[in-house]
Amino acid sequence: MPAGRRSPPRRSKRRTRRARGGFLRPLVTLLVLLALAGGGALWLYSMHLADTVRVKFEGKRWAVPARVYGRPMELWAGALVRPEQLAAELERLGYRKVAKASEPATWSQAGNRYLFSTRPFQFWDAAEPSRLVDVRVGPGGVEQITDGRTGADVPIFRLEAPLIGSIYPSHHEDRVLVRRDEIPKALVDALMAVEDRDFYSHFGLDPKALLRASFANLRAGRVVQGGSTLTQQLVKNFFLTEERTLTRKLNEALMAVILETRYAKDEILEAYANEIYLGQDGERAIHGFGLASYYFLNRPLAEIDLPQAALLAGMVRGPSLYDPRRHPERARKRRDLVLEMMRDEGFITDEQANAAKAADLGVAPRGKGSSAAYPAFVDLVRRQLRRDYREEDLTSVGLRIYTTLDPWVQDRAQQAVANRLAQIEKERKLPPDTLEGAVVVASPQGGEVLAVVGGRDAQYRGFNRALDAVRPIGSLVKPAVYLAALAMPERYSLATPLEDEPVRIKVPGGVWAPENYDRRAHGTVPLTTALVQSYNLATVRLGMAIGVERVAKMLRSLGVERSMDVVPSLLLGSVSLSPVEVAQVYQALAAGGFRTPLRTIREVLDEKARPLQRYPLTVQRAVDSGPVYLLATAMQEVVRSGTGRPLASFVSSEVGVAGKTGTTDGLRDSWFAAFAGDMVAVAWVGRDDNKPTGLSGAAGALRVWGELMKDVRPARLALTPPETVAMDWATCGGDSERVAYLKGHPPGPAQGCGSVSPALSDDSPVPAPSAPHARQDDPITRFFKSLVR
Amino acid sequence: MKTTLPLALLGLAFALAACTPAVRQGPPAPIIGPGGAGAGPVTTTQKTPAGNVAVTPLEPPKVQAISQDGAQPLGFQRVAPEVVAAGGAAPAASSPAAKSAAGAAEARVSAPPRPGTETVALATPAGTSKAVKTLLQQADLQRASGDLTGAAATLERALRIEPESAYVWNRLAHVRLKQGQNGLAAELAAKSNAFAGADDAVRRDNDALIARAGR
Repeated sequence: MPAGRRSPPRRSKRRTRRARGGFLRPLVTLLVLLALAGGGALWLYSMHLADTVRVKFEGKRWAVPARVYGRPMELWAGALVRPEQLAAELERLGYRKVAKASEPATWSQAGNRYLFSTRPFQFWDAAEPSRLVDVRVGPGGVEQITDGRTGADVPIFRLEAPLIGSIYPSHHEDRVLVRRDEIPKALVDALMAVEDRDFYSHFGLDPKALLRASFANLRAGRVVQGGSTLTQQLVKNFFLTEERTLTRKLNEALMAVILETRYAKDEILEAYANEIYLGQDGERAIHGFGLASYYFLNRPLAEIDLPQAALLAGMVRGPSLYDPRRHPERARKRRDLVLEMMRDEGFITDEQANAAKAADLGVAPRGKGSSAAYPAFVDLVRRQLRRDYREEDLTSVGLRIYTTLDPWVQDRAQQAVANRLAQIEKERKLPPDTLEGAVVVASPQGGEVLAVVGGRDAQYRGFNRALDAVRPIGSLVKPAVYLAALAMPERYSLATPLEDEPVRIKVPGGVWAPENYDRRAHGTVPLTTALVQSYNLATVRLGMAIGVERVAKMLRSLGVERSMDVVPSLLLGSVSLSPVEVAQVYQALAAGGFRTPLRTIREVLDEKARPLQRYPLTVQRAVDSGPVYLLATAMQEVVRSGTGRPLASFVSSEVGVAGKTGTTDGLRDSWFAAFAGDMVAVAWVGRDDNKPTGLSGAAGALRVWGELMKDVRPARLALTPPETVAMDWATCGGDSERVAYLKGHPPGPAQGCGSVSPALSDDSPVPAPSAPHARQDDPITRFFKSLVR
Repeated sequence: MKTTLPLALLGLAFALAACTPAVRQGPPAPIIGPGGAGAGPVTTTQKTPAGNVAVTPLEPPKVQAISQDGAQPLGFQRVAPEVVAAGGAAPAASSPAAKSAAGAAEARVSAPPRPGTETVALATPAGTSKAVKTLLQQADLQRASGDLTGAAATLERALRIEPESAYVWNRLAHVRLKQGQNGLAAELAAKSNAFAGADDAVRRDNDALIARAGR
């Protein structure tokens, strides 16, 4: 200590004289002065420490990561929620299954009747109190909802939003803040019993405990007991170092005392409960009992019972050692020991201790219900939020983010990717774990992102393929080509004949001569067939006829923001997009040409659950509904009879899925993008090293898509024909079919119906009918009717 | 007292030092950096900067909106958030998006309704579910109390239940028009028309709304 060297010579001289050769006096004086000087320095030093402590203590209380919630499940008579879905949601929320529900967060089931009592929940627009709800659910969905107490009919009801993750800062500390009054007494008792029995009476240090621990450790010859008070442990946690030096210990002791003089016991306890390190989830450090309760037990801290409190309190001593998931036996022994100590201290009775010891650990399986189970989705949320919030606000002020994630769909999508890829590798004798995949699911009309899978290992927080794997989209581009054509009804209808013949196009540095997938040319085919069979030659000829720029413009209208090369190969999908970008394009197609920016966030609330901001539903007409309708019927045909046919083994043809397969050069990327009534989804399969997989769109991505939808069971796609569309019978290629067309532009004989004129090709525009015909019963239609009669 | 306490501490601290501290497992070194694109394959094009984050602000910082447009391309369009000012719950500590990107975020402070300025001309169609009817009533109440943002949110909730209801889209268009968001109102009315089918009443109302919004 530098202050100790200071000696005041003058004064001591004077005193020596007065003492008349006395030997002891000067020494005592010197000692006293030294002590005074040392004490003064120590005092100054403690002032400095006090400041550090204040910064830490008061700062820490605010560093709360934003919490991310999934969508609340909506229930109403007629909702397509199946019994297993409802049960899964209740479990996800950590509701306990009991004989008969009555307490909040409990549920019971009798036949098709589900009775549950909800937790109160602060929604964006209202605080929903706890309610007892009686729901009848059949295999076809919700049949009836009544109030469990009054029996009154409940027209609509929403469960609380499930917690799905958090946005924690780059030092990876995550926590769920709890207030002192949310800490159950059992946990406080358990902590005092095992860590600090005199917490409420000591001054920050507990000499008795220290001596006790020292003796115990000496006797045992190793560390069996710690003498640190909760206050000291809190201080230690403030400075996350493992340094064990004397200075460190002294600092800690000083700061503990300072903390005690400045803050009340309950404030210290609250800070301790929020600060203490309790486990590791990959890169994420689990701090505080609030988060630990969610992470290990899937319930709010206030709801834990005695054995669970003992379990958590027991983990303080060794979060890794007593991790109840990794070492359940050790954790159980530790819990039982805590319970015994609680009994010895008189906190609980013998009976209570024995009953608690008999209980299960009650640990929730990892990834199910435990927060941070959906890193790929939360990644997207975080990127959207970064546009409107500062990073430190996201990670420290405890915002509540209400998102669009549907955990049911998300879980199915994760399983579909993991299972299907493994199966494909096995069937095709590919090396295991070489294929990767990604899925994005959204609602067509609302543009809400329901699920995001960033790879096979959905728990992996690394490369998010759904957002960052930017790959050529292959034939997924074709709908844009055909839509650009159909948007010119005077030239193109679904029946317009196209030439599927070899084509050579001069490009800078050579000649581009694309081929069909089967390396054959198919002659003259109707426009629909060219799309349904994904013919490259016909598509390139069509695209060149209308102009590549027009196709690029269509892609931009549909929501592509990334810059693309406007070159002929764009017509076969040389443009590279991420799955989420493709989802945006197909959303616009699924929504009749109305683009709705994909959203993951509905609302943002502040730490006191007051509403801050919401992200509204917006729409923008990208393309006329008429041509989009025609395209969608053709895309339904893709699944019914074209390249998407294998989907029949997953999803009933009655659903009427409209979609498109995509495959890129050398079978590197396998795509499938499609929509049903209530979902639009994109699946991608490929390799991270971009090597060929040997999979076409139908052999890879389509199967992932199918597996997902087989479980999710999407609603039927009932396309509403816009006003501008008429439908009639026509004889095309020898078969009589109903053909949809834009009013005023019916497919005439020149468009492949009746007789195909061989002279016509796609680059010579089809002459428009001489007179405008806006009504359904125009002469040409009557002519067609007479043909099929 | 002032001198003896630190001295006592000193002694105690020495004793403390002799006693081994409790075991605490430190977090392992992170394998993946924030943003996580470290293991990214060839085609990675976006990587989020691993921004260093201030850990312990002395007091809760005011939540503030910032413009980072273009810094984090998502590949799809930016959604402009609307600021909530309904029900008097407007938080003092925050004015997010107030200075948001390109003026994209607009504060919509709900004005009290002027009597007689708006009537719901259309009748709820027969096929509407009880759930949606309940929400429509709720939206009516919210609109009547001047909470237009809340009304819009409730109508959006109804649209999640019946996404193809021309009637609900029409109602949302009316709320947006009343908020002065004419462009969005017209688009919503056009969207409503796409589902209107044979419902000429809704169609006429939408067309009238589009005409009004265009003025």
